[in-house]
Formats: sequence, structure tokens, C-alpha cells
Amino acid sequence: MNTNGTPENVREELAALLPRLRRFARNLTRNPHDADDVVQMALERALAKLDQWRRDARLDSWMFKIVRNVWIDELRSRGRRGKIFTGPEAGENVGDSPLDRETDLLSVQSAMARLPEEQRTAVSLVLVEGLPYKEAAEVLDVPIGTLTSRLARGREALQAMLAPGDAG
Amino acid sequence: MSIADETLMAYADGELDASARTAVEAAMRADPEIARRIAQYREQQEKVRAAYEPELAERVPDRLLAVLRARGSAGRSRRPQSVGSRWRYALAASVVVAIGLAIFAWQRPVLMQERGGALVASGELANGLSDSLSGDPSAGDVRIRVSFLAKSGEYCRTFTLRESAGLACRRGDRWLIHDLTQLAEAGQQPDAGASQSGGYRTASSLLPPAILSAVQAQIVGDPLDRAGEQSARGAGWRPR
Repeated sequence: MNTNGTPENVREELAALLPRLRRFARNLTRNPHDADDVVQMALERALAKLDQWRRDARLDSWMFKIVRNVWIDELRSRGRRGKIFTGPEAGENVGDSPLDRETDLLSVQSAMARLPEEQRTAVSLVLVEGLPYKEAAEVLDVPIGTLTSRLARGREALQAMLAPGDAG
Repeated sequence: MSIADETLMAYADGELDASARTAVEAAMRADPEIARRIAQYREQQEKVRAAYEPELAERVPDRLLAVLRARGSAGRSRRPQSVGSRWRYALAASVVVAIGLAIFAWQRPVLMQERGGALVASGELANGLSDSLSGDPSAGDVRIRVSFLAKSGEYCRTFTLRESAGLACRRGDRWLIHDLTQLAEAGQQPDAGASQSGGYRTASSLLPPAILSAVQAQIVGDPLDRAGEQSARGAGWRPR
């Protein structure tokens, strides 16, 4: 009997998801070292409760949700839930057209890092990870309307930060 | 007829049902501004997606794969004591020195030297870091890529040097090499996703993901533009 969801299969699928889980965790934590720790704990948590994963649910959404929950727990235990945000940035040097793809890429990532957490996770799930709105809303435990408005505000803010000459 | 931005965004993301889609398409034909805004959403989507694509090509650390290989659902792997334990940074530093010495120790003229447990730029590399602006054609093999202000308060710059790429930060009157990786090695990593770029072989392609993520972890605000680099260089790369 080899059904689709044997633990062996799921382990393989999880391994294939690792690059995306790490990427999402980085967007969440904004720190690659924290991100890998969070992914590791999320994997352990997932393996321990694999029976709770519904076969018809997307494994990526389920894992993103666990990653996020691990991070929320971690912030709670650090006692700095809420304002982990580094405040207004010294964005003095924004404005010139990017020199090359690399600068472009870093500008996008840096603009993302300046979004409030709620908007950043919404943008990250939909634009970076490619989840449908409905899946992203489930990961974040919010109604789809809330997801949509966070996404719209996040994208508007990104647009403003990335528009050339609009820095002042 | 005016259509809410959220609806246009949902249209661009393929999230509308058939009837709402038809309505947006009609409005789009009637009003070029609506078409422009939808195009803007799509362009942004592509830009953001592209900015995060190189990360998928990074090698996954063994400790994460080990969790999945461990038998028994409790997972008997080395569990992180807490998120972000400090020792890893120290370890990383010594690895950089080891790699740097392995790659560059036998080269003449000397481009990097070990000073008190850290790897320091010298010769042509130090000159390039101090004098060149990003993207400038430079004498020799050193190319400066991106400059930025780091969370440590130091100015840092990425560079490529023959087959290697690295990240150096200015401390006092020295450039400390924080990260170093071989371009050829990075190019051999499996290329995940739909990337057409085919690795990182040439100076015109992206820096290796390891270096980019090191930058991402360190950067405050945006990379310096040309004027920012000139003023930082004028101040001897000392933070304001």
C-alpha cells in the first residue's frame, strides 16, 4: 500500500520545499541566521504532527503557517513581540536609477524589509511565494479581505519606495 | 466608472472571477489609465519575484536536511538552543579566514592577509575597495559591485576578484573580508526555479546567493548610489 502521503513521501516533499521555506523565513525574520533556526524548529514541529496535515491541503501553505507560528512563539519568548521594526531608515541615498540587476535586487529586498510586518508577510506569500490570496489568508489566519488590503497597502508602499526620484 | 485599486490588483494577480474579469477588461479598453495601473502591478510582481529568485539556488544547510532524515518523529537532530545563537557567527568568521587563505595564500602580489584572526584586504584589492566606484571598469581583476552602510555602522562593499566574490567592510583603516566564496562553485549549484541565467560564471551576472544574503542581513536602507559612494569615499569610508 503506497498512498500519496506516506511519511517517506512527505519527507521528500518537505526537502524540496526547503529553499522556499528558508526564503519565507528570511522575509519574516529579516535575518538569515534566525531564519534557518526557525525553519529547523518548524520542520521538527511538522514531523511531530504530520497526522494533522490534511492530504487535500497544500503542503507549502501548511509549512508556511508552521514557520510563522514558530517565529511568533519565538518573538513572544524573546519578549519583544510587536516592535521589532527598526524604525525610520536613513534613506538618504535613494533615488538614482539602479546601476545593475544586483542593486535592483537589493533595493527591492531593502524596501521589503522596511514594510510593516503584516504587509511584508502578505507581499512575501503572494508575490514571492506565489500563493493564491485564499491560501495566503489561511497561512496568516485572516479573512481574505484583510489579506487583500494588507497586500494592496504593501504594494503601494513598495511602489513608492522603488519609484525613481520619489525618495524625497 | 472607477474601479478600486484592490480590484485592479486582484485582476493583475489572476484572482477575479469571470464576471469581474470581464468588467475590468471593459474598463481597461475604455481607460488607458486603468490599463497602465494593471501593467504596473504586473511589473512590480515580476520585479519582486525576480529579486528573490536567486535565493532558491542556495545550498540548503545540512542541519535542516538532517531533521528530515532523522528517524522517529521526535527528531533527534541538534536542536538550536534558541533562535540566533551567537556561536555561528564566530564560526563563520574563522571559515572565511580559512577559505581566503586557501584561495589566496599562494598568490603574488598578496591580495589578502591574515591579521589577528581576521582576513584583511591588501594590495590591489584594498586599493580597489578604497578607490573604485561600483561598476567602474578597474585596473586588474578587482570589480566593486555594491556599496552600502551596514548595521554595524561600517561601510561595506561587495567585490569580485577573478573566480571569487566577497564582502568587505571598512574598519579603521582596513578592509575586513567578511565573506568570500568562489564564483565557479556557486555556478555549480542546482538552479532552482525557472531561472534562465545559468549560474554565476561571469562578472556581469549576479553575485553568488551566499554573498547576496550576507548583504541582505547587513544592509541598512538602500545600496549607495554613485553620489553616496563618492561622498563616502571622500570621507575615507568613515561613517558620518
